[in-house]
Amino acid sequence: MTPPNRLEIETNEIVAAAIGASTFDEPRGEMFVASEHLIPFGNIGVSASTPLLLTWVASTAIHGFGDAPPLLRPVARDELEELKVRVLYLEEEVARLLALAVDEEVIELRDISKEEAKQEVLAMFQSGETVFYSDLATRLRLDLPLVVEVCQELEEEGEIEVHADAI
Amino acid sequence: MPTLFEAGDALRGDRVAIDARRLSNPKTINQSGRHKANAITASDNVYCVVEMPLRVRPRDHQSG
Repeated sequence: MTPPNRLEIETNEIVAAAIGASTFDEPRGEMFVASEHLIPFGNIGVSASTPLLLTWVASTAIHGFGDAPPLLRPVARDELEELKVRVLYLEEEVARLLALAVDEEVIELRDISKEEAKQEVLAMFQSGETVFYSDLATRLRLDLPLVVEVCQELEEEGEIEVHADAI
Repeated sequence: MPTLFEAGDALRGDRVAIDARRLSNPKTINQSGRHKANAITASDNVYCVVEMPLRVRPRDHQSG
């Protein structure tokens, strides 16, 4: 194996400092959170698909150290495995919730006057069907409190009644 | 019909309609013996009403 050149040594020093490694021989971390595809870089694994890391390395080579980006945080292998399992679980949960959201019926309420609502509610009863407040609110796309108010007025006016046999 | 606002005011009925911004996931409650029930919490601008089946009043009742 050819010995690393000066640029590789300096870059290794920058990366080692960023992840908190005291020396190249005893790096505290060898994997990064950013990717599972690692390439050997001295004694330290460096993410091959992390433009941010490479940009930062190039930048620090020119401008010196800055605050290390979060991608450089070293993690233990078992912690990484745990995170992978966790991400897998969360992806499944997101897929499940999205499937539920697609099935969810969305009702766009209409903004109409109380008199108009009264006429529409009365028309719904003309079929002779027995309905609940929530049925009317859903079918007519009206606010539930408005439907209740209108039905109570219609009840007082003798237009509708509680269907006791249906209870 | 009164609308209740105070903490501790309760509704009891065979069927209650709920309008709310947020509903919790239903939880199963084991009651006495084999009885089970479900519990749900509605929050943010909640409106609940006890529902009764309604129908149009027959005309022959009104004319009498």
